[in-house]
Amino acid sequence: MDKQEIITKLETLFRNIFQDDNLIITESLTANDVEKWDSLSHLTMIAEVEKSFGIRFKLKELIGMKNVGDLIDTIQEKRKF
Amino acid sequence: MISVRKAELGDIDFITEGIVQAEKSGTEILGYSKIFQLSETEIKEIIQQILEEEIEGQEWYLPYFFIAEIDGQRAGSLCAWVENSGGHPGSLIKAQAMAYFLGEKWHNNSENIGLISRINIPRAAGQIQLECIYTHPNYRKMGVASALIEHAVNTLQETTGANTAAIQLMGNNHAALKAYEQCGFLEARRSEDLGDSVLHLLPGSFKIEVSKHLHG
Repeated sequence: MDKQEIITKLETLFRNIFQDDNLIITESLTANDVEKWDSLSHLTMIAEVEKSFGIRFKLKELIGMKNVGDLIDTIQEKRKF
Repeated sequence: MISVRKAELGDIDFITEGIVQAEKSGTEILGYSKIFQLSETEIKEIIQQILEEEIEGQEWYLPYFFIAEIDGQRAGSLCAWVENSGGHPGSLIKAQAMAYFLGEKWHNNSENIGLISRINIPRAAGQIQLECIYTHPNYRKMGVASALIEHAVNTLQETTGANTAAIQLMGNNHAALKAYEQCGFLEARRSEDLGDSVLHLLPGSFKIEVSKHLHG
């Protein structure tokens, strides 16, 4: 799965979870940039990403994620195997 | 005589109980149980796992906790930290840790989650945050909470230079609000009030943030 495919899939998920049809995924995107991105929708997002990509994040990977770029890189790394 | 010390690994059971009781806010409603549709025991296990992992930057980080003792017995606990000191909001770090330990155990109820999000008050970066303030029932009305608050605020002000301390609580918890006002905290922000219809899910229908400016 290449980076663009991940971004496209994430964009659909994020627009649904954060209820924003105009949301555009960028690598620098963080919760500060999205109105409905709070702790509980963050939790939902992680669960939905895991389900949608068929992966399970390690605790260290989750704690290390600071923006959407980190999320994309981690998904890409996990989908290699 | 109340003494206050930093928490240790052996305090985790006491702290977990304190977190749960503080979350219940004087009621029998544990919001986490309702949101994730898990038992109180399952929620306590997740809190203990997060405390044991020592994940910095979020409220359930063991080194952020203080313990009050009376005659060598644990009488109360609280956690205190400076929000966003690592550049990432504590609530999101806690959500990341919870996501890991909840795994596939929880059921995503977007309606409940949406409701709770509506009474969320984002914490201000750089402020001392006080949370999970708990007094054991045997030591109520003895000044335990105020001793913990004073010690934690003084310690963090000295080590970080922060000039404001804040506490968030359920607006319906009048006893806690009165106690914090007696410590010099005043209402600074208030969330939307969701009304009585959410009281089967949450211990209160709105949140208040009280804060105190600290003199140098």
